[in-house]
Amino acid sequence: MVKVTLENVSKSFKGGVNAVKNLNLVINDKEFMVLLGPSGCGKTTTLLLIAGVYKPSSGYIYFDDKIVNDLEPKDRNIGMVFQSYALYPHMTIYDNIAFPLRLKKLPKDEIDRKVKQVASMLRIDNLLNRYPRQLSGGQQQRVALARAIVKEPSLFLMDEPLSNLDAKIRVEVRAELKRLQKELGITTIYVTHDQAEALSLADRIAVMNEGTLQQVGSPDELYSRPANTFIASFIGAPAANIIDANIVEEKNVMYFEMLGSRFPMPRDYAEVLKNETKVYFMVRPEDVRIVEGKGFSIFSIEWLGREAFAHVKAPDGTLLRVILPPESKLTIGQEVGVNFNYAKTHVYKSTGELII
Amino acid sequence: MVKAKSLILNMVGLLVALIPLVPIGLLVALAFSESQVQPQGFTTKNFDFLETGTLFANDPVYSKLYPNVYSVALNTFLLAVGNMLIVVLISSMAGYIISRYSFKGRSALLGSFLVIHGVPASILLIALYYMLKSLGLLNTLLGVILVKVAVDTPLGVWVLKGFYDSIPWDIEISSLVDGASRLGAFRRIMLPLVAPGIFAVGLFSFLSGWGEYIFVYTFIQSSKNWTFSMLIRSLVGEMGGINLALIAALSMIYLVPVIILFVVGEKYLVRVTIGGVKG
Repeated sequence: MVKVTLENVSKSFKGGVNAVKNLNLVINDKEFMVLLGPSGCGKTTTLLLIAGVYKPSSGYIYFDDKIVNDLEPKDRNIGMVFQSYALYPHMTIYDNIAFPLRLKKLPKDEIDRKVKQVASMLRIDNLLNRYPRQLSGGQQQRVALARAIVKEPSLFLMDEPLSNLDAKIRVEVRAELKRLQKELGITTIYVTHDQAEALSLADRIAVMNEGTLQQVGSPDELYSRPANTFIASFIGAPAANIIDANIVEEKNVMYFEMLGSRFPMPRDYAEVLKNETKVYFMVRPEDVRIVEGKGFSIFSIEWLGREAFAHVKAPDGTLLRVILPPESKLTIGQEVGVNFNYAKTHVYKSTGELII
Repeated sequence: MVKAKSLILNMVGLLVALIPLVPIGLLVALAFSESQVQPQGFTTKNFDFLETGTLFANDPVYSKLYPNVYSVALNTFLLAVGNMLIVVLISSMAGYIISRYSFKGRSALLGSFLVIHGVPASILLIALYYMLKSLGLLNTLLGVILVKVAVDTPLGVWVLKGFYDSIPWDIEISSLVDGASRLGAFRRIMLPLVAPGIFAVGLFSFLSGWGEYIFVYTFIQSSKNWTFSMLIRSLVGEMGGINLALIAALSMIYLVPVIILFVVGEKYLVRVTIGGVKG
């Protein structure tokens, strides 16, 4: 379909807000790219830049090899879906879906055929004579999708399309969306602040924060090797533990001094960290191991079915998030020791960058 | 207890509703009255002017002093419709621009609209008189229409800006991405969505033109350009004896379009208070 390239793209608004700062990103043909970040991180601005609603303050946007900076939205062949659905309230569902085709001045019978085809694909063919206000949120979102699909765009832009749906329908539509995208093979850029949604949908994820791109990679890469503490804390639920640690050496053994305790570090860590003093130690809840010992105590346990989620109180009062296997027989208040699966933990500089 | 309470509330409501009906009732009674000064008996002779449009048809002197009622009605209608069309045309476009574009002096402009709307139009009469005179528009309906438009447009723009504000950006962006030009999005999406607002602004500026008195009185001298308000005013006092019944009959004719508009437009006006776009 189309490959989208952002080259040093910046966008600032009146009043000195720099919504997007020097963004470099390539979205490959047929790829499902998710822009992920907290609200106000510039992801929607980026989407609107690609849509052509905003013009970049500097930098270039390419569709394939063509610079599209000054191309009007209507000439970009984009299908867009919004969180608010953005259906036209004064038109029937049929007219809503037919709207982009009518603007293209297609013959009437062709419009009719295409509208009916896409409506049956999304199972809304029985709603065509209704008005948007008579539909449920899930149905409205299908109509919005149909309207985006019917014009056979070369690029889908989606701005939190599932955020207004209830949890159950959201999972349903999510699966459908992913299947549809693969089936149609249309390059898709999808904006969300929901990391679970991002992990489940994306071929690749671009994490943004405060207008800057933090990391681009597959869901697996982002989860298992976050490039900085922001991504480490943003991706994964329950959130990763990010712990202040001092590095100390005693009798040729290097330790992490943290949580009011000392943990001898494995050799590969020791070699990299010998020049550091203060770092962040990142460990995901599932990589904390509860062992027999003293100093730590179970603060709370939530039974989740497949597993249990616990808070463990460290000697210095910090609460560690821990995922326990379902068969663990721990009780609240019980004294335990703690160890880590060092193959999966990471250490970050005090400024946030990944060391190992 | 609850029943008694609702009964009392209903009675009070009825009473309040009756208050405005008293003068209107008097007006109607007087219009069909045989006496010229007080409601008495029933006759339709006060409406005899409808036949030819001539007032005091039996009096050769008086009948020449007054313009034909139908030409007065036409003048009133032209003033009302002219005012309505221009106000709607300007405010539907200006409201959109002020709502959607940010430009230098935007908030100053908005503020000045409120101030202008607050200025009593009568203090401008002298200045406007000279302006119309130098434009050669004195004693013409067009002159009055332009003045009315200048007075009514700020409120119209303000109201329609509010309607445009209530339409989410997403809908407009969506139409742009769907292939509409900026103008196309305005015409196909935005205008239909603010239709209730346009209806309200149109109705109010029509009525404002229909009921205008002070500008007509000041800027129009020749009786061939009179409107209803002028005609009725001229029947009071100046020509000696007062025929209240005739005034009442004219006033009823004057009132008819207003009532028709509210009956027809009620459905739209109710939608106005609910607001522009829903879900």
